[in-house]
Amino acid sequence: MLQTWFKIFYRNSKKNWLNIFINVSGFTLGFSGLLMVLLYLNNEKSYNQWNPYKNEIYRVVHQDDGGVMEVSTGLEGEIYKNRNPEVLDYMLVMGRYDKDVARYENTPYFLNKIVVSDKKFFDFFPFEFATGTPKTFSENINNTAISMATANQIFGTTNVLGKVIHLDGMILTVTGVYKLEPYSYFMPDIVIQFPERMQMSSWGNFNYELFCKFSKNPNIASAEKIMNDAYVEFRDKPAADERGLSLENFHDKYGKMNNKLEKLSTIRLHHLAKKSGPEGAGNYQLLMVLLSLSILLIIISSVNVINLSTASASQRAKEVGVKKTIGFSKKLLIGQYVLEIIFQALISILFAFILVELLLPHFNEFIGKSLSIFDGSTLLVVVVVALIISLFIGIIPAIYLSNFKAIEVLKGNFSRSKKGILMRNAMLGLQFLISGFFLIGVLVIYAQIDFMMTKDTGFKSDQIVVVNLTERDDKFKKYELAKQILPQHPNIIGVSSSLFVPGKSYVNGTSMSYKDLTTGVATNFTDFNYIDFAEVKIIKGRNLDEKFASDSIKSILINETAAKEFGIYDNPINKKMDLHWGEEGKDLNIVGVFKNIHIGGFDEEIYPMMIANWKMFDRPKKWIRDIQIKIKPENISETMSYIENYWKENVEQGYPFSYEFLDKQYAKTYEKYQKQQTMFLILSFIVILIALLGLFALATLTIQQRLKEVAIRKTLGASAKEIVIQLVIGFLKLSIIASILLIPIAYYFMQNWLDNFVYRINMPIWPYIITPIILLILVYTVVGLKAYNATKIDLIKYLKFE
Amino acid sequence: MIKIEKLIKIYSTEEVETTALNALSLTVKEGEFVSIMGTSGCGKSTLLNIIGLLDSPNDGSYLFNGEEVAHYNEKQRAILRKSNIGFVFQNFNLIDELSVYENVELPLIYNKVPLRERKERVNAILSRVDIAHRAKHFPLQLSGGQQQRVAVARALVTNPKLVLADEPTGNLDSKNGNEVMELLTELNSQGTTIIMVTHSSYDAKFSSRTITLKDGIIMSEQSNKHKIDVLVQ
Repeated sequence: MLQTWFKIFYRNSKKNWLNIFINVSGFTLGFSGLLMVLLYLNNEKSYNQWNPYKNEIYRVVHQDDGGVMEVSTGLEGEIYKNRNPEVLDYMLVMGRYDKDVARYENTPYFLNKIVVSDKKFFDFFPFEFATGTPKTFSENINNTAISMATANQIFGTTNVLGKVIHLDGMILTVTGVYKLEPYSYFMPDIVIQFPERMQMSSWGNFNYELFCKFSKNPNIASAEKIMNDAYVEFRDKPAADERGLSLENFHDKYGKMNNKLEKLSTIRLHHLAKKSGPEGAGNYQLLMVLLSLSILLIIISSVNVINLSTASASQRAKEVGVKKTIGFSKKLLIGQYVLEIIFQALISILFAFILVELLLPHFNEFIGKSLSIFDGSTLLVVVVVALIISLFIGIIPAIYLSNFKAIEVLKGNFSRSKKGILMRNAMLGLQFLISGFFLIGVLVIYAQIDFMMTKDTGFKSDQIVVVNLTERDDKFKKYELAKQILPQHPNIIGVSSSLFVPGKSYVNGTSMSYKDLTTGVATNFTDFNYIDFAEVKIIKGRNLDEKFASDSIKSILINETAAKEFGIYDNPINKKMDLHWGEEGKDLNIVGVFKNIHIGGFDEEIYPMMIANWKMFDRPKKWIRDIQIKIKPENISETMSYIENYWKENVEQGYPFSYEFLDKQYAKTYEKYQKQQTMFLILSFIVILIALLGLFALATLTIQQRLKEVAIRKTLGASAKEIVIQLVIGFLKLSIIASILLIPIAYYFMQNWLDNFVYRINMPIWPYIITPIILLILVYTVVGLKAYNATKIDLIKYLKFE
Repeated sequence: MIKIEKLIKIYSTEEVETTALNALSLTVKEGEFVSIMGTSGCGKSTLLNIIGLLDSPNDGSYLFNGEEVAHYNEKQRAILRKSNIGFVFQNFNLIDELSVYENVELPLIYNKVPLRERKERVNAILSRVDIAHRAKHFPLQLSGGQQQRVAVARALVTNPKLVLADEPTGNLDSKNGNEVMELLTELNSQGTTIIMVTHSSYDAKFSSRTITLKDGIIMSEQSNKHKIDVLVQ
């Protein structure tokens, strides 16, 4: 029987090769998309799964009006542990990697991922030790542990216990070598302990990531409440007393901090703070967008399968009639047709595996990963999903087919069922809807990205190279020297520096008061020439100037937002501001207001900001992280190698020279959205292609069934134009209905998407006009082409025979 | 009305050439009722298709109302066809998705007849073929004879000068067949020229002249003396 089935299937397929081609290609693309997204999702989800305490370790983050900070103070952990018996222990660690040169027997080795932590690091991230133990590591503050790769890099062996290395002025003894896990929150080259000079005693000093280890199945809501209460008691209350305010007034004025806990097992994808570990955060939104799109792709392909099978049913009606007559049960018939769809799905899966294997390198580049197709569980999931989908969508046409009445079909009395046509139209409408959704999506995303790329950021980033200062010592001196030497090169226009570098988000903030009004401001420190260098506009007052001695002592610039928040926008000059930075922060004098600059990209709000000269306070000079160099567009590679040579000889010996162009660095703030745009563009192309192929095949089939009608109409004198309109009108009506339904749906989703951006376009109207027009034109072209061919039929053939 | 001279029609496939009409000549006067008979493949349907301007000959002359139409292109033929010729087919060729009324109305729409006039003419012709009470029905809800009456109505609604009938009773039982033949005879008596292809010598007797074809040429031609006068009957 299976042989007969296969024979019939094979011969039918040969006759209807276009249908099979469309079914299989649609499924292949749909399954490929799903497979890739699941591989990606699985990869992101596998982060921290190796950690035996993944469900007990939580990161503490702090939420206030300004957003969510991933950092904590050094004081909270001990209090939380004392207050909550469910908190077994806590650990403080710097949330980003340091880079530095380690020296062993005077040979420098550059280390990229230095983790600075307290001694409990390995209790929370228990990497397996190849040699040594976590216990010996924790016994002395000058003990360190290194990864196997680092051990091999420096010593050429892992047998290194007791060896001594120099790092950042410390003399460290290697007490352990650990094996890294591939998917971890931290993947350090080396773990060192907080040096004694690092203070951990201030409530205002949010420097560390704080991890708490709970007992099994902790009550997180109650833990957060305990934390909030403790925070109020230890931080807010003394601060309120100090200012002579009641606690209530204090909260009204300065806001209330809300402590939240993020579980390690899911922190990669689900985190309130923007940052999620030095290994980066998963792009959950992109993942969900991709997953939804791949599901839409599968729906489109499924619609094609259902539509083409029911539409071509009349061709197979006779087969059903004959089979029923010779005693096939309905069950068997349904089984047979379902099997045909499943068979096509299985072929598609094979193609999908091949396609994904071919596409993965590009996809990996796109998402910055190295996924492999050999992920058994994901493959299995896709196969099972494919089987379920094909079973489900196979049943619909199978029931439709098997319901033909044997006698009527054999007598040739087969007419198109109204229900079948209605369902097919609904499906086709759904396809138009999805295609239209993709089109609108592409257009709206395009409009927003275009807006971001052309919008005035408030600064110029062209031809500016940002070179990183890695070595800790004498950073500012090195900068000042470079500022003198480098511009002697004919292709170097200027050198400047700024604590905040566009594209790198906010790095430092402090409270500032004007009279009774206090708000947090981003405290930026720059060189005198920075405003001109970056072409930031001064809209009121004047720029800071070296000529005035006061500009190195008390003068500051503020941005528009700060001026507005302090209510001094109309008359800001010479207003006296208090920066909450001890005595030296008192009575700062505003000399100018600069136009807002978009430091962190367009999905980040512009905070109040002040700019002061580097030298105004002692501390900021140590924070300088990079040097900005403006170069001429000619001979860039020659200029860069000149800078590199200078750097390696005079600035940082033994350190790798790392730099980035500012415009490229800034582009990263909207890279995520550009990726979504690219993804939308590719997918909409595929989706529309599949939908059009389906439409073409469906038009072919329905028109084929109407050829007799065409012949009759033609005989009665219908012109080619009249016949084409007659054949196309139904499809056009459908696309108009779909367009009308499409508008609110697309509007809702795109409005949501635009809400990601603090600085965004108003929803453009034109995509909603142009998309239905494009749909109509596409439908008219595809169906019209088939319809026009239909007007050329041989009349006599269709009038004679049915 | 129709003057055909040395008409040749050859059907060629890859392997064989079939001569359907072999220099056939024929004249039909206005108001005539002509039957064309002959065995299968003798060329009678081909001749009817060419007369009906559904097909074009390879050679020869075809004068329709004195006008040479043998080498008309598709568009010219369509224009001539829709205002001058009505068709009745063996298998009725009604559109299943349209009602009786809509089927009959169709040629008027293509002839750009205004709505009100269309309504009058359709209703008049439906009454004339005695099917007005079924105007809202769909073809599949009617008997074969009724369907053929609708087809006749549709052929006549444009007041064509010529009606071509291709085995109009072929799919009907004798009672329904008779009805249709009577209808055609009545039309003819009112002045419509009719050319009918038939296998039935009984049906042929309704016409005024019977032409018998063989291998694409006219074998014999006879006037029907025993004309059945439906009006008297």
